[in-house]
Amino acid sequence: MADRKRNSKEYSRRSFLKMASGTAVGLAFGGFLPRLINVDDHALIIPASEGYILVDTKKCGGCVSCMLACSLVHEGKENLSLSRIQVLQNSFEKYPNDISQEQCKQCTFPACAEACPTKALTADPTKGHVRLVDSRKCIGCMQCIQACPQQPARIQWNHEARHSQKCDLCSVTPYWEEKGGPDGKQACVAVCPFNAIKFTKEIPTQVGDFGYKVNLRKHDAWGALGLPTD
Amino acid sequence: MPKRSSSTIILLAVFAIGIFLAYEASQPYLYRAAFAGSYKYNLLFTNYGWLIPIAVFLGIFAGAAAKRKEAEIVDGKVLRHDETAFLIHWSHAVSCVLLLITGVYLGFLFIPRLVNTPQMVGFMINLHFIGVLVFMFSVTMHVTDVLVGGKLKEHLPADHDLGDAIAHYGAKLGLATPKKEGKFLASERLSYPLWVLSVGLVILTGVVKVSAHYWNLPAGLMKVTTLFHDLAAILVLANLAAHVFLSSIVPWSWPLIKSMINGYVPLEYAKHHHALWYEELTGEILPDPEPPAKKRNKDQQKETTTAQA
Amino acid sequence: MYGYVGKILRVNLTTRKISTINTEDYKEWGGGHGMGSAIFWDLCPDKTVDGRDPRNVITIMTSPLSGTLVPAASGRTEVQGIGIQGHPIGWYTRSNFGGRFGAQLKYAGWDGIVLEGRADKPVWIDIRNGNVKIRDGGHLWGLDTWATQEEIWQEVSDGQGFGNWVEIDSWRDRGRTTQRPAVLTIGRVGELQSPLGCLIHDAGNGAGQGGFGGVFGSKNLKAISVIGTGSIDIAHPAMLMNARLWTREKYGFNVEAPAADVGSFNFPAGPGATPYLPPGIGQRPQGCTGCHKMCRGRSAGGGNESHCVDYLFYNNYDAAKHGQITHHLLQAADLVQKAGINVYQMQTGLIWLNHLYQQGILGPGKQIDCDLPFDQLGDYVFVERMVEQIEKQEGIGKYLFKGLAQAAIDLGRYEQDLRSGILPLQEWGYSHHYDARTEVEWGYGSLLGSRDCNDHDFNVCCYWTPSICALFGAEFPVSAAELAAIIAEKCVPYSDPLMADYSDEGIYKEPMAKLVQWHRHYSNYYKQSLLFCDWAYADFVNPYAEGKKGLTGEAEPKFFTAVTGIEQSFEEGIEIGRKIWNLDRAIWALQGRHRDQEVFADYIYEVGAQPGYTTYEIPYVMPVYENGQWQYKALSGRTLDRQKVEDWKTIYYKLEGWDPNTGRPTRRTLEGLGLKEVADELEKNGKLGA
Repeated sequence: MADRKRNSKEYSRRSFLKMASGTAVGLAFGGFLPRLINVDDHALIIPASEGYILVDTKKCGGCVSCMLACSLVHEGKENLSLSRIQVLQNSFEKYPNDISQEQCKQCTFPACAEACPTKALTADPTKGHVRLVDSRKCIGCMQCIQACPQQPARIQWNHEARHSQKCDLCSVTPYWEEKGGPDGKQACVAVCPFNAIKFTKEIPTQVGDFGYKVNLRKHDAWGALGLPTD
Repeated sequence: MPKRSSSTIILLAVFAIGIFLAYEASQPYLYRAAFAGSYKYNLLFTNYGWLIPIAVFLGIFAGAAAKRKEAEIVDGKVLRHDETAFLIHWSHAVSCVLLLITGVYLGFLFIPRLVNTPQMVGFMINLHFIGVLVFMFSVTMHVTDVLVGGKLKEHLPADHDLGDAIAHYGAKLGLATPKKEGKFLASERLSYPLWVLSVGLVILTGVVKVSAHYWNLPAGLMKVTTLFHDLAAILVLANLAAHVFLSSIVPWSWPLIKSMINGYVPLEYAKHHHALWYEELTGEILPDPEPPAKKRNKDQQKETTTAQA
Repeated sequence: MYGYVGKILRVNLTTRKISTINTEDYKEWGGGHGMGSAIFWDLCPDKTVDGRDPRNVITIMTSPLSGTLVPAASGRTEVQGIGIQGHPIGWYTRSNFGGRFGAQLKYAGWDGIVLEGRADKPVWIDIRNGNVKIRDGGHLWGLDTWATQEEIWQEVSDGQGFGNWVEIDSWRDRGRTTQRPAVLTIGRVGELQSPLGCLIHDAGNGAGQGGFGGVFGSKNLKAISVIGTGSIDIAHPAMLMNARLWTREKYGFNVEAPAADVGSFNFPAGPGATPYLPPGIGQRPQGCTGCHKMCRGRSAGGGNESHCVDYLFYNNYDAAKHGQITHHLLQAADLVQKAGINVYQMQTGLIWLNHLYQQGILGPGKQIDCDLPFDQLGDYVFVERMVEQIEKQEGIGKYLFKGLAQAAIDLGRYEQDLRSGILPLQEWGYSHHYDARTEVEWGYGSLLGSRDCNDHDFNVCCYWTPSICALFGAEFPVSAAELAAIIAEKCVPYSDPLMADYSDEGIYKEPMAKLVQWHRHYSNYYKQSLLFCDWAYADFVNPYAEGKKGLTGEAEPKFFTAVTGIEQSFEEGIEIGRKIWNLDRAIWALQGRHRDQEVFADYIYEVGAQPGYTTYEIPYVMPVYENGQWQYKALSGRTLDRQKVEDWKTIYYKLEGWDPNTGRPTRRTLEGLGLKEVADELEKNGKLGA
């Protein structure tokens, strides 16, 4: 019985090795194939987003209502770490350096989308090409967070649900009845008490920050209240 | 087939180099200077995914080329695990542990994530990749060896195995009379399909997950795939825990863990625990196993009662 | 749990033991002061100890609304315990501060902090999510409040700095944040256990009254720092978002088209801080977490987050000396914040010292020797010297350090200066804030409590708006009759059409007692426990609203339900307020409270009301019901009648179900509120109302 086994193994082994070498070639090519034929086209041509958030950091009151609204409408709970817009402040600094608002720029060249290895972060064509994360595809590698050239990164790490997330212009807000996205409303814009956050469809200049940090104090009662409009 | 010592050295080298490469790749570097800079680290799954089919090929080749040594009795010891078994088992075991640890550190299902910076996250994912390479090698080597050697039947459960396994464990508790067992215990054969299922599922879902680095796959598919990858990992973890406990921790298995390292179990051990295998090797026919003392007393009491009645 | 995060942190500074209390055990009290009083009742067996005694229990409590989107109810934190400012007895009392601390405490997973005992040397408490450590504070002792906070920020960031995402743990992933830790700290006078010591958070959020800074000092506690990355679960998120936008649309300040809102600073009011800056200095309004109105500000010249008496204690002097507000005021405001000194004691102290100086009683070589440079009153250097003398307990500072009441006693001027009113310590040794002779509900509420009540609910609509309109000849937003009707409608369940009658007769009658009753209950629950900010609520008259009726009565329960999921009517909330008020009243009874102690300073009964007791009051014009009609009437020159006040107190005690002979709660009242063991404790100590 042992002999038979050995012989059968000898026989199988010969033919199998023939097959194996063929397989080897096939597998090796197969391994390379995706890299040869898969054109990483999502990084080559990404349409611009149809919406952008602008802020006026001299108008912001540091109340973080925008952050509270953002996490509320997206996650159904209040958590500043899960807000997709961040307001940083230092009480001891003098105006105007005491507060900064750091929103996602929906960059025309989104380094975050380019960096995502599994196409979880894309410019979604069904939502006006807003750059957003599909959490079902996110593997939690945090490449997008590192790729964001802004400091602090405009991608958040959601440590509770274990995936990245970012401003989607309120495209997906399970806890708000209003329609969001570039053709709808944004929670931060709706809730900001002084209208220090604005939505626009025009592409802001991508050079520097000044396309995104603008003056929103000239056309309302700000000046009449005795507050600086410059 | 490389000797045990060579296999050990090769495995250690592979893991050492793998850990080093995984770590190096996970260090972030500036790849585009703009504003505060865009940083990236190398995700081995994305950049070196082609190594996975290579590992599979190596495993198939090794499994087909590997010479199996038949059991031999030497100096009161019998060969139970030859060098091929050594290589397959330990490459599989270490890579499995590496995969589970890195999976746990990354967090899944109810298990919290134990790393919190992109560097450490990258390191864990890259280590996971190293584990995948060795794991795929070991699994395909084993599968090839089993199929080419026509040994599938002896790994799968036979009809009487459930009863035999219950008797085997019942005997430990003093409640049943054990049966004669072969080289592989009935309980081992019963666990084999669980291993096939859990490892198969984790690999299948893992392949889909790696494919997502190269093709744009539907989100719904990825959600389900990841869920089953996570569940399969729990199954593998449970299997591993049971396996380690029953093959190394319980005292009557200590000779087995020793043989998985040096290859041999004492002949007396084989005679006592694997009577059918002993009979095969020596030609000697052994008596049926005795019931354990506890059961003997109980049976005697029952007989006495019956007789009295 | 929704709104609440489930655990209260308990720190024993003597044993250094850190443990947890379940919020569920105290949930019926709402949050804030209610919970704080209930916990104090349980954990401080001897309520007669001095505030500096290690057995004093201090609670720092948030509410389920803290850290959420509820407008002007997300940023405040309530502190209670036995205070050291009250005269002649440091009553069990409370204070409250804004900013970011309460929200961060919630995100860290704590509904509040309980402090017991005394550390053997200076310490600070480091809270990072669930990781709580008592750390050595020797290197912080002696630093001012701002330097302390900046030092702690550096230590908590573990060298990661700010301006970027910071991991809260060194290895395990429990989140990251861009926010700086929220720190509550004390200055030098607090370390020295002076009743002038207050608790400061960020640049200018202060829990000023009660002397809690000195209590912290007595516990060797320099600071508490908290940073959190957790979540507050909301029961009805969409409802909360809708409710927030509803208030913005129907009641809130509209920056596009502001409604005329004369003399008002509550819910619908525009952003604050604007009048107090030197011309040409850039500034922004700035607010606490979740606020919609931003009542304070930050400027290019400093004075960050000083928007109220932290400015008002000195702005008149600055303007008088220099012709306009200057940087002297901003520097002075920053200094008192850094020093952690109660600015009301500065305000009233300056008024008093200035009176004495003008009368030639105080000065270099005078009857009261004082070398403060009064010729430079209005300059920063005056305040600098005054603060220095207080901290070093030198010169006049030696007296001021012990609090104004004790200072007056030590200088032999207590009786006469409280009789003339040049030292306006209206009740319990606390500064005159608003005038008990005219705006009686303020005075009565303070007298029946433990301190200056600081509840502006009627102050805005019944005093400021009518008085400013009268002063400048502007149209009243609502007639006196309309105002009275709105108040009567909203003050359920004690509604009385004559509640808002501030006439010479009305102020001693039962309808006014009902107003005060409603006021105490509303304040105890909605403002001190659920932490709806005093600077926005209650909203009675709102220029944006239909019929000018504000959102009080509708908004508070709506927000509470949206966050917690608990269905609770406004009247049910008022009733909880009554329960809390009675618990406090029981604690004071144990401390020896008797109606005979509840008297105002003599000037209230003997000197006619007029501005000058503070730097900001204007002549009082308030609603009255006389000769069968409502009107706004000037109430200058009025005094309170001692006997009539006593009679009014009797009416009030009876309304509350307290013993009219002592003012103490009766068993029947306490048991009716489910407070049987409180009644038992009072009886055991012979302090139960008959």
